Amino acid sequence: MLLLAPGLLHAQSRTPSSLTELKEMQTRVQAMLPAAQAATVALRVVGGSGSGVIVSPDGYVLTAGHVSGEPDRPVTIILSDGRKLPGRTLGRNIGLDSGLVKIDAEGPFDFAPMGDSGDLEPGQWLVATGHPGGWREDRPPVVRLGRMLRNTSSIVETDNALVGGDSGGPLFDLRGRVVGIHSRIGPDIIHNLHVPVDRYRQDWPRLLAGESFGARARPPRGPMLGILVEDDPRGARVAAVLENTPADRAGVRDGDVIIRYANRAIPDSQALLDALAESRAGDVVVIDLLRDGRPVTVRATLAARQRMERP
Amino acid sequence: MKNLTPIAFVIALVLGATPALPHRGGATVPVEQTRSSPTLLNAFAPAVQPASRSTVRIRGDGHDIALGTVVRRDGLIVTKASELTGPEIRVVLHDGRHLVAHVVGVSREHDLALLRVGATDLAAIAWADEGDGAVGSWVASCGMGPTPLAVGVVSVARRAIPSGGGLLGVYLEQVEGGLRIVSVADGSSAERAGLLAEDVIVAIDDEPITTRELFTRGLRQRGAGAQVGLTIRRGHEQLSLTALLAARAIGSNPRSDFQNRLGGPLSIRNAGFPSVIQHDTVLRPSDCGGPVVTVEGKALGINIARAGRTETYALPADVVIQVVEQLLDEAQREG
Repeated sequence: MLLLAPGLLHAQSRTPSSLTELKEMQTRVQAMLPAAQAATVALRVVGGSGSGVIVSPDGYVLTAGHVSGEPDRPVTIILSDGRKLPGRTLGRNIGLDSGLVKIDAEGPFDFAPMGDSGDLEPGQWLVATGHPGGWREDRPPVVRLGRMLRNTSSIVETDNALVGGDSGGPLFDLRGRVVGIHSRIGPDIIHNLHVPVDRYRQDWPRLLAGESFGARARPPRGPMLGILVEDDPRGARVAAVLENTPADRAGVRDGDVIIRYANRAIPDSQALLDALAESRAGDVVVIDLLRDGRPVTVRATLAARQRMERP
Repeated sequence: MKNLTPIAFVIALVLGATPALPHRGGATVPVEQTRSSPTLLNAFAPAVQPASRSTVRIRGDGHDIALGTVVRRDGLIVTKASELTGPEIRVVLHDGRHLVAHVVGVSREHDLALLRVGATDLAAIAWADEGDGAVGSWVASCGMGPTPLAVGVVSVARRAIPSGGGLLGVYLEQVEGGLRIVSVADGSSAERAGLLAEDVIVAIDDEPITTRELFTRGLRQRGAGAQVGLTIRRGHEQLSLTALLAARAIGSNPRSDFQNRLGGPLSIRNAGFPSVIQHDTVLRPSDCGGPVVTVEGKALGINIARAGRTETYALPADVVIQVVEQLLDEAQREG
């Protein structure tokens, strides 16, 4: 019978506090890197390039929906050893920003297993790889270390710094399992958002079937509320509230479902986007929402929009 | 081989974003749970202590412009050359002494300057072995305090960073007899040289510049690190200014430049290096020039550029040692 010390239960999120512990962690990171880098790929599609990760020996590649784009398009997969292979784009969840690609070549390929994003702990150490700035012949997948800052059903946020070209690349736990896919960045160095790998697993049949689904990705217009939304049977579900925004100040919380906005019914997230587009910065709007099933009303003062970027 | 533009779309579903410390259910993430955790920085204290005694603050024009690393006991210090500005360079030592430094030599190729101060009792840096610092190794960037300024890991083993030619950092439009500056980029060589919007560039090193093509070719020929003389028409005046050209990263474009600046300012000279180690430490440009050490406390090299949102470059120890020898030789031959 093995008794675990309480500290070991949270070993993945523990902050090393001595040189010995730093060295132990360095050893763990360096042990998982070769396999993690070997599974990381660059993707070339019409109009651009991004990153991805092979998650099966027969060549299924997770990437961001905005990298793979429309289903059934040709794509070139550049393996970490430089081999360039043909493939096709499969399905994507547009709102979530997940995408799937299949390599059309004989395997087996080096791959990284999919882990569990739902189990991530605050402060858990994670490794990001990818091709920031685009693929370069003389540069293997670029390694960055960081920690899990926030985890909702539709995003994992970390301080593993990302930039354009990383999109679609993998986020690993220290056991070398894929827990997220790089999706977008914000103005601060700590704004790095990844699609949780659990959502790929949930959507797998539709991704595999080459479906294009999820809320339509149309750039939001009008003023800023300060939330990430996703569809919900009852309305627009708040996947995340961004700090110090109108929504935050109004008391909107992660998980709230918005059902009415300025007296307009909100059946889905697109309806909220449309309603917001007709408002103005400075407007005070009444928002009706469901919190844990109970109705709550808040008032938000809309602000002018700032930009958020997809890497 | 042609590099495709990395895909970068304006985000669709984020209904706005502001300087947001991420939070969970309304609560800010404690700093202890981030990469900047004080506990983590404290854990590095025994490793950075010796190297911090070899770290100096470089000041010019009354500002902190860089850090420096002591390479010889008898007053030799290396730093990032392109950050040196002002008529007089001053050095603040670990023990608090302020000394005037003179420039022994500069390697434009590596962007490394060798300085000498009047002291014979400095603590020279202890270098790591060439095989140290494999990808994934911890690295700590030293300041003058007991804990590191910031920490990260080695992201890419040593390699060359090509340069796409010299960069001034201005948006131009062609006008009668020259090129009018529409705007000057923040933190650019042009800004540092004192160029202003509405100035008209009429010549580079006394060669008349009448078209954008001549201007672009002129900068490309000179390359990163070159000093260029610019003749400017400002109102009714004609001025001569000197600018130190920055390096333009290969394949950069306005969008990648924008994304790379999300998360903090970058060094002006941030590309065009024959050999660097890339790490993911977030550093201010004015904190380049100091040592970056392993968890064993040995210096892998010195930080030479904050180059992008995801990358900081260090000049490897053997390169620094070799350039110092070379600059000393050159100075001796001349002197």
